[in-house]
Amino acid sequence: MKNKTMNKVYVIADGALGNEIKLLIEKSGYVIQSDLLGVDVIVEALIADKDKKRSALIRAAASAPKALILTSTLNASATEVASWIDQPNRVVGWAMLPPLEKSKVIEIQNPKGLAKHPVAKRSGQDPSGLERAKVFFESLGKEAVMVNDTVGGVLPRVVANLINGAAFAVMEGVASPRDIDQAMKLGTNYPHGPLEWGDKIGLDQVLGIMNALHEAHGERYRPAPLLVQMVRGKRKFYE
Amino acid sequence: MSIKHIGIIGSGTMGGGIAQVAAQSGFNVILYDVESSMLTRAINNLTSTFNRLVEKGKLKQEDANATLARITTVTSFNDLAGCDFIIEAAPEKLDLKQSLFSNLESLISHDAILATNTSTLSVTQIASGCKRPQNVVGMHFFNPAPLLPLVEVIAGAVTADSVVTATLDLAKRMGKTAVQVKDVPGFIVNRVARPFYLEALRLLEEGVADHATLDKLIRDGGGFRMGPFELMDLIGLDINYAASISVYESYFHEPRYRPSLAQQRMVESGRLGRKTGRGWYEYDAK
Repeated sequence: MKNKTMNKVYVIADGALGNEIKLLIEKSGYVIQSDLLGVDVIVEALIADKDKKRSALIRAAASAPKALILTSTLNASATEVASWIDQPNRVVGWAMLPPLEKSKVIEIQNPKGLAKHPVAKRSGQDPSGLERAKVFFESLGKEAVMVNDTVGGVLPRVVANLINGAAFAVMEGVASPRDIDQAMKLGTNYPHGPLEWGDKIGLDQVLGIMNALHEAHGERYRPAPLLVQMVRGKRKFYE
Repeated sequence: MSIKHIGIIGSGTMGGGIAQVAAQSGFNVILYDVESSMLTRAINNLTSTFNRLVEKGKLKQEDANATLARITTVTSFNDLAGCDFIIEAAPEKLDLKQSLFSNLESLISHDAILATNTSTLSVTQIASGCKRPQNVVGMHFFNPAPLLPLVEVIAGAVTADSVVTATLDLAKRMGKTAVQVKDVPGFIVNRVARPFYLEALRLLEEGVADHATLDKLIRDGGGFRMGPFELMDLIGLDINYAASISVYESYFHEPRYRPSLAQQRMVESGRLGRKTGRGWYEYDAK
């Protein structure tokens, strides 16, 4: 339930993950603010478009100079986001995927090189960004699990690659989307078929993750051309 | 063509399991193996499985008897001549399968279908030694065949459409969910599942988190039944690693399928998972 020291929450988000995190924040008793004045926490999930993420975060950080910034690491590492912001020690990364409701955990990531940043620790009243982030996510009913900072996080990186690989298989005519999903659910016990999962997350969001991984790690993460086309055509695997 | 008599080549875990599924679905099964001792073992295993099911009240004794009566065991190839459909579950060796198929072809009727249960070889290549390669198809069951509902039906490059349709239909009559797949390495499941293991291994190698933390985030965050490292321990690291190598080599070193050095070291060290008492996790000695 809601933490009283982080009363005012502002959300900048798109896609299914954005909608779900908003709902979760509201369900936990917070009132999402309509302007940035005096907010305590900024939660960001702009995954489809990294340029938009950068400009929105720079603007928000300037308007709320004391706010804790929780940035989704699906398309940029916390370290990269911190490099855009004036007081980088207030940036903490988080990652998860829809359906958020069923997830018991949230990944959190500290920007690299800032772990020992001399943040104000005045008589325990201003804990570091990481501690505040943990308290906030735990107030949403999720266990916050710390991992080393990396673009794409853990679960989103694994799942986006499953979806991207399945999109390559569709493109190459290996099988129909329905047969691929059916095979993965029955043959390996996956909770969702990769292609229907892609539709749920939003293919633009999956492409956002793959583009960021491709930029950071190279050829292995090349988005499937079919995925790119489908995002351009605003299509889904299941219409 | 109506399929009534199903031949099964090989009475190991897969062959025995497929024989059970076919016989339970009402087909007459001719189970072939070179070793009569293997056949005896397969029938004994099946009998004790049925006895357990009867004890638990999940199977009637007369149904168990009828199913067993539908299975004939043979050690001579000629006894397979009357089969409409043959499923090969022999060891994964290309030349062995090729010679089995060309020998079988000369015995059976012209419209009988030859199916391979291969999981790693090309159906097209297995068929290439046959005079009627259009009658050769892939029929990939998952282990344990009596329990897992999926069958991948693989159309080789020259497999006739009618043969694919008949195989899909047969899988359904065996109570399975059949999916149709092109003849590509790993088919659907073994190919599409690779990133589940390979990305988790990359995250480990990059030092993002330890294997237990990665398992927890993927399992409890994504709703998977098991995390990738737990699952590798269950499958066997050697088996999982061999599948990755096979897919990587077959796709001409496609970077998406590049195997993991960390996993290779585990295999070299003999830590193969549950079966050796130690893999990514430690298990109590049995």
